[in-house]
Amino acid sequence: MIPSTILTDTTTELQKVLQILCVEDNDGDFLLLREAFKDSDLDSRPILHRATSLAEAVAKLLADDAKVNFDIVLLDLNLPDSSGLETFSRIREAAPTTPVSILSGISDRNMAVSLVQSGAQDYLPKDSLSADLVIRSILFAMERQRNRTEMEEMNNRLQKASEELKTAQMQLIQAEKLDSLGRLAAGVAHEVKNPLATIQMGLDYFQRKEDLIGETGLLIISNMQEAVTRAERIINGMLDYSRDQNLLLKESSINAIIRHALALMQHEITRTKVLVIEELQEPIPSIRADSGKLVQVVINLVMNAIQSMSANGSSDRSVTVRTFWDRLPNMERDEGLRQWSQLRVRDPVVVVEILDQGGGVSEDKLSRLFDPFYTTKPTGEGTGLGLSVARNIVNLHHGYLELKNVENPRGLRVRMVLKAWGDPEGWLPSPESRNLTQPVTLKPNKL
Amino acid sequence: MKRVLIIDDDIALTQVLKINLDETGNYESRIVNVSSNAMAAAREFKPDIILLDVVMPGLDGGDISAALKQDPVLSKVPVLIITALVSNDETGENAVISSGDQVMIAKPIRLEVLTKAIEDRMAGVL
Repeated sequence: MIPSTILTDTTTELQKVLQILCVEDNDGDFLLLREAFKDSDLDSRPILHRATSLAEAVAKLLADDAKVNFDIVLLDLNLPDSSGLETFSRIREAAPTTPVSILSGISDRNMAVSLVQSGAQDYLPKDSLSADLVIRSILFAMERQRNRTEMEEMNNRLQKASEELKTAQMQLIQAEKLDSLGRLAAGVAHEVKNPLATIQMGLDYFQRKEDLIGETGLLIISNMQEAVTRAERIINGMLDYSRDQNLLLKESSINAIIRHALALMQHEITRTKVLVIEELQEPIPSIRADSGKLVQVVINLVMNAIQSMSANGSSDRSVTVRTFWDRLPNMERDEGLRQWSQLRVRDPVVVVEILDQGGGVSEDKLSRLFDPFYTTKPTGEGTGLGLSVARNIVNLHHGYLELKNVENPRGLRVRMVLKAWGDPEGWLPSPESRNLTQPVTLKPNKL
Repeated sequence: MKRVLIIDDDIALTQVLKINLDETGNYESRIVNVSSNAMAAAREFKPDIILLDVVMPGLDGGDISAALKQDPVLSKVPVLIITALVSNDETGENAVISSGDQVMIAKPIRLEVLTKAIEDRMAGVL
């Protein structure tokens, strides 16, 4: 099925003069072909270039100056320097996107047909060439090639999209796995280290009682001591393993993390012409964080903010990236998640706030933004995984992400709240931090 | 004799810990296994130092720590948090990790390391 518009398009193309490369060593056949074009009723006659050998044809197709961009190659398979399939393959290799129509004699008709099945666009029987046939064949050949190119492009796009999706899925699964592995390891380690502590204390007791337990007793004690040490080493190794893969916690500066992230995004920021305003409080308490992972989170959040505004077609709008610290005024407790690093009321926290002017997100969508695969972006632009992965990373830091619509100008405010490392005793929180009043729930995220 | 209050829900551990500490001749220790009794016991016992577990049913170490800070007398008593939530490779050589005004020591712990940490904490070195 060929839509009618295609023929019209191709005719227009013909009017801007078709460049045809005819690869034909037989003078008689070439003249016949030329006659056929003379008889054609095209407005401007196609320009017929000739090559009499494969080498000459390839040279013309590969010519660096590219004076002529051939629209089609009419190819005789049997040339002085090449024959049959070989001829076709070499031409394909030299010009993979140029349509090729095979000029076939009676003797190689079967070969021509099979070549059409494997990549040539058409074939022309030399014994019955007519103007109509040649022109029509050329139009169809070009059309087939165009469809083929389009299909290949589409296929590539599809493949790329599918790969992106796969990567995104892997990221999600990975984040989820790390999260549960980390929790499991920490849980097991905790439960095993407590009884180990008792055994250790017992050993310390008996080691002082040499006179009571004798030489054999001491030997047993020393073996038991070794066992405790080994068990502890194994547990720490397990913790390391899960920690290494998920978080490399180090005392870090949130402002440095943000500056690093913004530097990495410089290209995107310049390209989208969005103004990014940094309001980073200095000094600010440090945090215990995997700075590489948090850089990812910040990039993700700022990128969302920028994209929300370009989606609105808005110009001269800005994204504000702000940091400050405060003490948590109000927290809902989650009985299931007890850790010394967990956030509590009055804990000093470091807050990153990313404010866009992209019009905000409707309340019903707001609650879904953290769902994996949920996206508000146009098809193909968002995988719907960024925020759920970002939240996983923040949760692994025992912090939380919070989304809120704000007015004047209307936009979305994303807050990342992380526990400060060390108590900034005597420091005054910045004025921005006074509105940290929303109760939040620290529940393990359900994925 | 320094008075050591041990707040930890692990009965076996606290028993052996108390025997060890008391036998050094330097300490007189008392055990609290139920964390909701911790504040009353602390007010009554008037410890020189408190050894505090983190993960306990009911009130946990964080809650107790916050309550201690609210108390005019007990807020001045040094606290050593003993927890399996940190490990020795995190705490470094002196087996101690500190975050702000909190000093943590990892379980399991050798008695000599613990007594040194207790002395350092009481001397204000930690």
